[in-house]
Amino acid sequence: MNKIKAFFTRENFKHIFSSNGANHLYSSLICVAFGLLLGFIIMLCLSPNIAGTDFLMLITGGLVYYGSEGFGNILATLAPLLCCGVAIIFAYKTGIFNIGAAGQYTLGAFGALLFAILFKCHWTVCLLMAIIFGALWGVIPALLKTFCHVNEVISGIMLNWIGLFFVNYSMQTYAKGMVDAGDSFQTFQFWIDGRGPLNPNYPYNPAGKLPNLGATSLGDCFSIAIFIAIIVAIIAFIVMEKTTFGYQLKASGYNRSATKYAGINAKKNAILTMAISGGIAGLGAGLYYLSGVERWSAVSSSILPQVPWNGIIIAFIAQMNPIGAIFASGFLSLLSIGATATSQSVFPKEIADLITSIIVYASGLTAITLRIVPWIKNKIQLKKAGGVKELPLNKEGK
Amino acid sequence: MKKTVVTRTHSEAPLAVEMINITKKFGPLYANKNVNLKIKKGEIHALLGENGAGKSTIMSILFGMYSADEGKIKINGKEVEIKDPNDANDLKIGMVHQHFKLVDIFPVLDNIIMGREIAKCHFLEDAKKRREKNVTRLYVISGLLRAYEHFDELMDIVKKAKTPTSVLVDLYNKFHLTSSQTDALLATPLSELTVLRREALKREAKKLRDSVINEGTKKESLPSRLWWKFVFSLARFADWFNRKTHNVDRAKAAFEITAIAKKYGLEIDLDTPIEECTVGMQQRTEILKMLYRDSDILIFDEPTAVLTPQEIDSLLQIMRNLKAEGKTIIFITHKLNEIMAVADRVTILRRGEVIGTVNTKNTTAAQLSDMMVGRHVNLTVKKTNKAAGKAVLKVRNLTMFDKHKQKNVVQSANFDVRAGEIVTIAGIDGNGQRELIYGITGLKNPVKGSINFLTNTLKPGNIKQRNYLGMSHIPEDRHKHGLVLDYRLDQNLVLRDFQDKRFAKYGFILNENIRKHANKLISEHDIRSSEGAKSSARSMSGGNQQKAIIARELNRKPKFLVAVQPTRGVDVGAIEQIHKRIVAERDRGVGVLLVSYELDEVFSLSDRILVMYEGEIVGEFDPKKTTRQELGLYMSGAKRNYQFHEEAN
Repeated sequence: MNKIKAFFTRENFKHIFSSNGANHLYSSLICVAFGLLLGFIIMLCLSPNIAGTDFLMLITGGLVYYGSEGFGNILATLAPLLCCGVAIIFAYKTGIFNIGAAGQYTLGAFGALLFAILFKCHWTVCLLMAIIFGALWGVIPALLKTFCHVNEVISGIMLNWIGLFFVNYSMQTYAKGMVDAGDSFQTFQFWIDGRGPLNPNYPYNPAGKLPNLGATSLGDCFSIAIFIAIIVAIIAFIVMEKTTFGYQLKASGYNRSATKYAGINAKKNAILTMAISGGIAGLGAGLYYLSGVERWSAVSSSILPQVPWNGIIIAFIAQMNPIGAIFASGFLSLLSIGATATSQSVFPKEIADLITSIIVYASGLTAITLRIVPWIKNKIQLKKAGGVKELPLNKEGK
Repeated sequence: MKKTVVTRTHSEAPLAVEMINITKKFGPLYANKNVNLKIKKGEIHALLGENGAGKSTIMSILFGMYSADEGKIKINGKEVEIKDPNDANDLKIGMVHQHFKLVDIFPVLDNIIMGREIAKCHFLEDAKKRREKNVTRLYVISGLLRAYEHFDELMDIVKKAKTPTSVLVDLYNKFHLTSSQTDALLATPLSELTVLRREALKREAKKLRDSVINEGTKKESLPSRLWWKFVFSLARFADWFNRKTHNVDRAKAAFEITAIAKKYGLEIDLDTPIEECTVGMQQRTEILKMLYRDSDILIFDEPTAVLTPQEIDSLLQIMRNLKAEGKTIIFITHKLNEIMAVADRVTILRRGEVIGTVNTKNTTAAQLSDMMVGRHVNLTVKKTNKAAGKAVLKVRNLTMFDKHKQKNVVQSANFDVRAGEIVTIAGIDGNGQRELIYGITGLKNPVKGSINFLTNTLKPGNIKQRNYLGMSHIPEDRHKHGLVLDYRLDQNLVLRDFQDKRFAKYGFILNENIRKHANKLISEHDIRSSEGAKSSARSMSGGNQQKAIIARELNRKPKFLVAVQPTRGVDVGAIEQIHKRIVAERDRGVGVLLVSYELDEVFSLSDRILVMYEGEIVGEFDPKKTTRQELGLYMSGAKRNYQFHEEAN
């Protein structure tokens, strides 16, 4: 009890708000504000009359315009985004840039849908298969990196496309039962709203859908996916910060030679990291497709799914913090839903993508924004103290 | 080269640098507090102080890398404001940093002229192209010289020579000029030289034509004559082409640099890429960089920390040469014997404040060290005689590859280290010591050979096993191997045993125990940092980083200790501590394998000395029965005599 009391003291809050983590948060917020501001200016240029209202709609539309169903939609799109973000953060912390998340995501989607539609398994099994498929696909670049010294970015990008075409080809040749030939080669919707299948030949597997805990007012798409994703993010954070495993992984991300010196098996860790990262990305796909937001389109998908790429964006906005990723992905899905609520005739819905990309560019300048925060603080202090000159500089900055 | 006239009378000598009341704060800490520094023109002025005493900071202020919070700087009597290193360059201040600022893949020449390239149309040629151009340049020279008669000889030189510059120099020496003329030539601007060359070319071509016409009819066949005509037209074209492209400017720079290098006795090969250079050569590159920019005030930041004894000697000689040419030298160091050897005056800094300035003539090394540390320091290590026990480590036929897996840099090494003795591997840097240690500590896999530790055979490359069995390793490169710089100090202090049950439970890190452990080691080993256990390893000074590593490695109560240059870049007070600790480990019955390039350390610590030369152990000595001179003979490969006797036990 005393501990909790001690936590809520003024000093402790002061300490928290001036800590390094808080600085990262502020600098992220600066980037977000910068992105929004620039987006607003662009909207002003496009149409000054309705820019104000539509900008508000862009930000709040997801919550307001579509009502509670919109909120359910936000949560449903948030879950896979968050998983992909966490997958990338996890790998990035250990010094691997997992650009192959898209491939792992694709394989995860395949695993989940294969077991949901063809084998009619329970959703837990489907999710597990999504994780395993994603993990296996993630291990390939890791093996190539550790044993053949192939750069993980190159092999990752290649494996993205290999994975995509492998999945589409398999669906059309070996697993034909998955593809709904009547509906432009999309996969079957394995679950149709409790009423049973429209056609007795259609695959029908209500057990495959993620449960929605009876929250029907949040729309069809809402499910427990969001909770699973948040739990994954929190576990990832705990693993990174509190465990010996995370200690090893981060150390090898910072200094590979030193981890070798310390007797840490860097190769094993790299493979394990990529398996975990790929598994999380695959899980994201499972959460997305098993909640029934969308069906996999096996022919028109000659482009890679967008979600894992947005995962990279989230990782950067969150400044590689899994907890930050929860908010970043929430913000991103809010924007993308809100963008559909703006006046489509005047503002293309890509305005949301535009704003997020501006934010990403801005967060690329973290080094600068991280300095802005102490600078502002210093200014405030100066005003309070009445002008004592003290520059915020690194100690012994060599 | 412009010569500055220097008045040598010390009392009246004008001041090159005057720093008045410089104060610099990093957060709440004073790095420099009211520092006053007066450096006379044409002297070697040493700055002495422990790590973190503020030597580097004050020089960084002079070089414009930091700006002082308070105080004034006067250069040659004029008050100036130095905002960045470019300003310093304009004031003819140059600095050789402790960690060299060179581009690894570029040749020495490019590193020297970098930022001052005289490229045409922003094109810089690459090494391969330059080699091709060398061939064309060859023909130019062949025209210049009496190529017709001496062609075979010429080709011979070219084949043997390593670099285009040395080709030029060799050729001029051989065919054209005496040594004084070569000097003059090297000092001549290339624009004049090309004129000379063109005239010579014309003359030679004419001569050749005459000879071909007069005698050639008898000796030479027509195709041969046509061939020579072709060669000469090619040569003329190549000469023209060279003049039209920036290659001439590169050559000009190369000529100028060679001239400077010759003047100051800097041995250098302009075409070797930096990554293939020895540390000494890299440093000479840095020095040439300053000299090429006409700097008059030269700052050396701990230049000898990375050098072998021989390289140190030659560096000190270079500094004397520079002084003789009227350059002012500021020499940051904490090595007393170097100061006594070259410096005219010393300013001692302690904790950011000036303790005093003394003439080296009127002082002794012991006095200086007392001033620096602020208390009396024992410069010699006290060591009791102690019989060594059983062999802890047995190395048999250990053979190691070099970095590129091209050749063996360690050639079947055989030796034992017994419990309770310090075995030192002496030798010049780069004779395979590094790879030998990598093999023993498991950082690299050996080609062949076996290592026995206590009763176990060590698996190649298995560091975990070595950790478990009780081998500690103080690595040579503390930034690369010893520390994770972005981790906190307490995290670094458990780098090797973070999985120990004291620090982890069910895979979760016990942060409180780690913090406690860190605080214990910090107080025991006097590791100084800004925020104690919480400060990041990166923010700590080099000496304290080293202390942290030593604290970590010795706290593990090892049975065998590998220490590679444990006192590199560490101040006198800390060296004393580190030596004491290593001797204490030995007295505890630990086998110690020490690698050191400093003979002082070798003689004061070791119970047995092994000398390595070109990957082989060439001699074994008892430090009490040998001399530096004898070791030197073995270290340079002049003598070798090592027979390994297997101990029967």
